[in-house]
Amino acid sequence: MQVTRFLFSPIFKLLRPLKRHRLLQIGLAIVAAHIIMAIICGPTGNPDDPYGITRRIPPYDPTKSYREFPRLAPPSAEHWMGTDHLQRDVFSRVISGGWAPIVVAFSSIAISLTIGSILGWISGFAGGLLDRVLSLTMDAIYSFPSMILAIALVAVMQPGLVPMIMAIAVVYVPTYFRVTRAEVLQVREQTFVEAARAVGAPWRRILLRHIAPNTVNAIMAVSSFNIADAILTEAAMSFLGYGLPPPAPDWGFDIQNGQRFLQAGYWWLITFPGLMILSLSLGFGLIGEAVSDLLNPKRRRKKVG
Amino acid sequence: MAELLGVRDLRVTYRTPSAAVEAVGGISFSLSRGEVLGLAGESGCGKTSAAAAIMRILPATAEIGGEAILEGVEILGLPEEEMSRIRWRRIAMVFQNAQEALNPTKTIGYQIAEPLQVHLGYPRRKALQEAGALLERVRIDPKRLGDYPHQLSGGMRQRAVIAMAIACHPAVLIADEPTTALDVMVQAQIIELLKDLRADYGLSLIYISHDLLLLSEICDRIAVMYAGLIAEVAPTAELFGNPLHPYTRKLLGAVTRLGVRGRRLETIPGSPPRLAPPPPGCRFASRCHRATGICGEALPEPEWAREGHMVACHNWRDDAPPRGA
Repeated sequence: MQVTRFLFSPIFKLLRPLKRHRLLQIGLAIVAAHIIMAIICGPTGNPDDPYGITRRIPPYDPTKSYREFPRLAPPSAEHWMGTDHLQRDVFSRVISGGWAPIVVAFSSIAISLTIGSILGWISGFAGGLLDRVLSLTMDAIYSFPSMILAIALVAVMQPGLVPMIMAIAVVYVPTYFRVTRAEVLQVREQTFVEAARAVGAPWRRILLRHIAPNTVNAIMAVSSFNIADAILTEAAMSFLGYGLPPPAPDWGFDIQNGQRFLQAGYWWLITFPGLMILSLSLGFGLIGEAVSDLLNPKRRRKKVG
Repeated sequence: MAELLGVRDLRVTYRTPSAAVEAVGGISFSLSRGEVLGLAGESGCGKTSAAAAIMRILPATAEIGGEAILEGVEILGLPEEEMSRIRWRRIAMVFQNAQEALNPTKTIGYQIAEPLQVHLGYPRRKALQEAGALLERVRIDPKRLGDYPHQLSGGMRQRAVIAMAIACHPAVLIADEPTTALDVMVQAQIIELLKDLRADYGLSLIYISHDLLLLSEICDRIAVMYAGLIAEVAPTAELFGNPLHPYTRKLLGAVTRLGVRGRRLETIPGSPPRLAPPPPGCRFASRCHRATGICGEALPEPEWAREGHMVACHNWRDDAPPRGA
């Protein structure tokens, strides 16, 4: 029975903070709403019904110009967020446009987190020449302005979902590398690592079981903020035309299209996609805030007493 | 008694870019089966360095000299591969600060099971069961197996570290100030526990502490170290009743005793010498009230004052011990 409890304790531990933490609840609710929306309204993969129009969610095909729609009509009961210059329903575009940022942000952060932290563990643990070379390489990447680097990478490949994920991933690898390496340098000097060495644990075990778990907190804290950042990067890239090829719905690209009409008073073209970007990155930002708060060792110690 | 661990002329030198610090300057002692040897001395006198040298867990910047023979095998010169088989199976260590010696992200069950998995090749479940038994042995409820270090009290953490150390039934256990961070009640419990373990397993113990009274509770013999050298070794009662080295006497004078009234608590003026490089002559000379000309020139050789009582002082014969102090 003790053994069972021992094996499952991490799961209970993970769920506990949800009960009390208001920021975390709000952030998770916003993000969950966006993810559900992206799943329901995003591309279905069915060529006959690419956006699930038969379900009426979204109400219209976000990629299609409907001849019967008015051009640039303001929000109304029929078109909740108005229509655009190509006679498309803005509401349909807005609710199906969240798919791209979410997929791009999660995948790119997952990739850069994996690569960056593994390199950071190795570099910090091994030290020596390898550490020098890796650190210099990462600093070189880091010293580029991130947008320009990402755009250059996409330009080398070609605009699209996968190149955008790769490009953003490369931009964030140095962040994880640095955070992880710094943590490893600190953790590896601690007594319990010395104790593990004395116990006779092989170096792989020391790195994976003793050092790596103690760096996870820092990596988590950084990554939850980075997702919000990656959302904004994705929006900026699609704004500049390096995102999904049109007419796929994508908030950044819609803002790019709509901003030309702003001065003529057609505010609804950019307001709604803009609010979506704002709320999604806010949601992730709140989660990030909550996570770094929860992972703060001082707070943790207080709780235990 | 048969010698279990024999240390001869052990030296530890830390090389830094600017200087070489001789932390341990050639100490010799022996440990018999089932014996408890105390290693006393103030901070920085080389107690922990000596222990870490015997465990072979010093950083690469440290140079080790001399020899240590454990169960007939010289271990200081062993290749790391062979040493890692001896370490923790034949000689284990309880680290100074239990809080830091435990990985905060792993349950104590995991950490006690680790040496069993690594050294004895136990499968995970069997190692965990054994860890439960070990916890019980150090008087912690085995239900706490799944607890993380921060969920335990300081005393329990220290006992968990002891459980970790005795997991593979070592012949020698080095306890490096295991009770320093604990209050006296918990200290007494840990001492009792170590005494029990010694009786049950025939464990030999090297107990490192700066606290002479604490050492007198548990040790058969006490070695007093000063500035990297052993000043005096004697059975506990002999050391307290008939201290020969001026440093030992001063140390005992600085110990508070209950029930002794009207006696001023002594202090030792000055501070230990810098060991980079060590001064010629006796290292205590600059603080010694009995220092004579020779003390500043020649290092005193350890001499047998009587059976089992060794002292390293030029003038121990002239200085009549104040009996019954």
